[in-house]
Amino acid sequence: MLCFFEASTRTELSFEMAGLRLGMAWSKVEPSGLSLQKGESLRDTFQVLSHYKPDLFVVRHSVAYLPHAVSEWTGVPVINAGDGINEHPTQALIDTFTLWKMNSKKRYSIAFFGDVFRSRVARSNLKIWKALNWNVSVVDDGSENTKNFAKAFGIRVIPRRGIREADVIYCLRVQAERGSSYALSPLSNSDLSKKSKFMHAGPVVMGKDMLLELCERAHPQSLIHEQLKNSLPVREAILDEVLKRARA
Amino acid sequence: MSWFYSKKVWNPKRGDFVSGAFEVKGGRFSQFIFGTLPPKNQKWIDLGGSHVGPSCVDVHIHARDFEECHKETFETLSEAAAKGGVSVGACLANTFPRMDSPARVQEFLKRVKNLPIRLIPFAAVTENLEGKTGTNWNALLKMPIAGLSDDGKPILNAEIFGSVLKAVSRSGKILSLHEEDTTISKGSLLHESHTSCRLGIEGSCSGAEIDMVSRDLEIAKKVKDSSALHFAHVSTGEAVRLLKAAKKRGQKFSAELTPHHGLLSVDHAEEFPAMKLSTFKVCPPIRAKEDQEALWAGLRDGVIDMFASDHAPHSLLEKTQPMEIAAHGMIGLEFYFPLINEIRLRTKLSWQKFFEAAAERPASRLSLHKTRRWAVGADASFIVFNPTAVQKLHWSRSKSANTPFQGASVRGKVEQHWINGVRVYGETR
Repeated sequence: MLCFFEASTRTELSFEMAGLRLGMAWSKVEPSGLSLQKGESLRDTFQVLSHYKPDLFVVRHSVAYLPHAVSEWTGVPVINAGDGINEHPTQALIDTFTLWKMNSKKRYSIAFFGDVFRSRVARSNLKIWKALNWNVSVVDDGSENTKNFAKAFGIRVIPRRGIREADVIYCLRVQAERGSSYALSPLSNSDLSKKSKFMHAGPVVMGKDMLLELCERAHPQSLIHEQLKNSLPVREAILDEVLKRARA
Repeated sequence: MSWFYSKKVWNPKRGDFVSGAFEVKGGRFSQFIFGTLPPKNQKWIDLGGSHVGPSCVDVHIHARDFEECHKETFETLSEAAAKGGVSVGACLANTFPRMDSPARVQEFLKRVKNLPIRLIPFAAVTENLEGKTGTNWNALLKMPIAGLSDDGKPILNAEIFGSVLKAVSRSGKILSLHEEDTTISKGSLLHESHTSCRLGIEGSCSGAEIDMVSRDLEIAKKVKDSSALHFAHVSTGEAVRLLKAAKKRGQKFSAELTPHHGLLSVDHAEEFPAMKLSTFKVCPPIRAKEDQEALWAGLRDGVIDMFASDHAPHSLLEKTQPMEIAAHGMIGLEFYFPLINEIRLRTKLSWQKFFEAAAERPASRLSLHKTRRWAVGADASFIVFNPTAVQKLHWSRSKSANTPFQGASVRGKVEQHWINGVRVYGETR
């Protein structure tokens, strides 16, 4: 069952397509049509849904740790498709796979550009990249949140010009719906060195996250379309693995 | 009539435990004799080498019952308190229905009158604790209540706060304050810290408490008698500093320390698996190590002058939830004495100060200073305990089990608890 309580283009549809390619059938849960509107709790809602025997839930919600709770409440395997500002683990697997495919032996140096504190994509990626011993930093946007985030995760805060040294610049969407504001002017060609690549998990807010000059599909330094291309096989692999484990 | 003897009976004059005996007649202490056995012709209960001291008084309990019997009933609460060494408890007004009218307070008093422990209700400051319309303070303050409180919620309206402070101070009762500026506390999920950042949870800033404490001390300065002020569950170092400065200026108030704010700091949250994180959710949140140290210092120098459990039972339904939508609060009564004894040991608090904070000060705040003293004529309510025995905490007496101290090892064990000369917990030898 696809349970997306927040808007999604990429994650929801790529999960749907990945499942269809594996021969799965999906039920899509539309939050606006649920009895949550009548006052039913999330716990009761998912317990009801679990009686209809889904093999798994894919859950996105603004409440951190809701996917964990759904798993606890129902005993049904849950794939976290984004929970609050906490995590977006499947996106992190796609991003890491994208970099690994480019060079599986490289110890990347990656600089986050944007509001890391409210980014679930940053939290999940960081956990993997730190485990891989990659060199991660974040661009100083002048906010306390960014400094605290860097300290909390033990990564460096670098000045904007420092991102020229990074192999990859990971541009984050400003999470306006979670209270982020634009502290940095958009990423532009002038921020890139010849060797650097840049990524974005999408959706890109053009002209705000990055200048239009970087949004060209054919931009030689962009990995955005690689990320999109890889989302299908990675999510297929995740679905396959989860179902295999559930049936074992 | 019975005599009790132990090698370690609390002697407040000496500030220590000494060999001694005491007689209980009609539920009251009728004699204390130190350095000797009971008179020869008397039978006595031998408490051996166990420590004997006053039982605890707790000014901060959320009793539930009424429409929340799935969380706790007065009976289960009473059993938990008996085991935890608490003989008198003041219960906050956020029951369902709320304690916001004389009729409801009357109903509460009727329901608790036959319990072994004494429960005294607080009444609400505002109707339904909504912070908008004051309850009938004059009528409520004439009733046998602890005082007024909207605990669980702050009194954001400064005008209401100023008026209620005057009214309660005149009555000699207490105004217990939940200091949280809810416009900035972001739901008080977890203290704003590296931990909250790592866990992907929007943290709650210390300012939410500090601003309110500061505002209320300022308003209280302008009130002739502000002695009713009681700061519940103080959690930040800065609030302790504000209170210390106010005390120096001569402002009168009391302030409490809970076992969870005294024994935990926010980094402990990372020891919990994702679905247990909500056990750590309490308002105000458990703060940083530096705040914990400031609370300890405040306790040692008397700025914080009493312990209180803030016992807040919630069922699995309310707690097996993601932190953001789980209920606030944790239980604390069943192992109240061991937990505050652990604070005593960690803070190196003297026994004198410990009993002041655990029994004397809260009793006097509840106007029980005549009956709840360690002296002839007072209620014979005492605990027999071992202050150093290590025990692993398995909570079973409350209806709820929402505590981060499940399975924790602490020092201190209540062996027996006597209330008004009647044993309510433990076995005699």
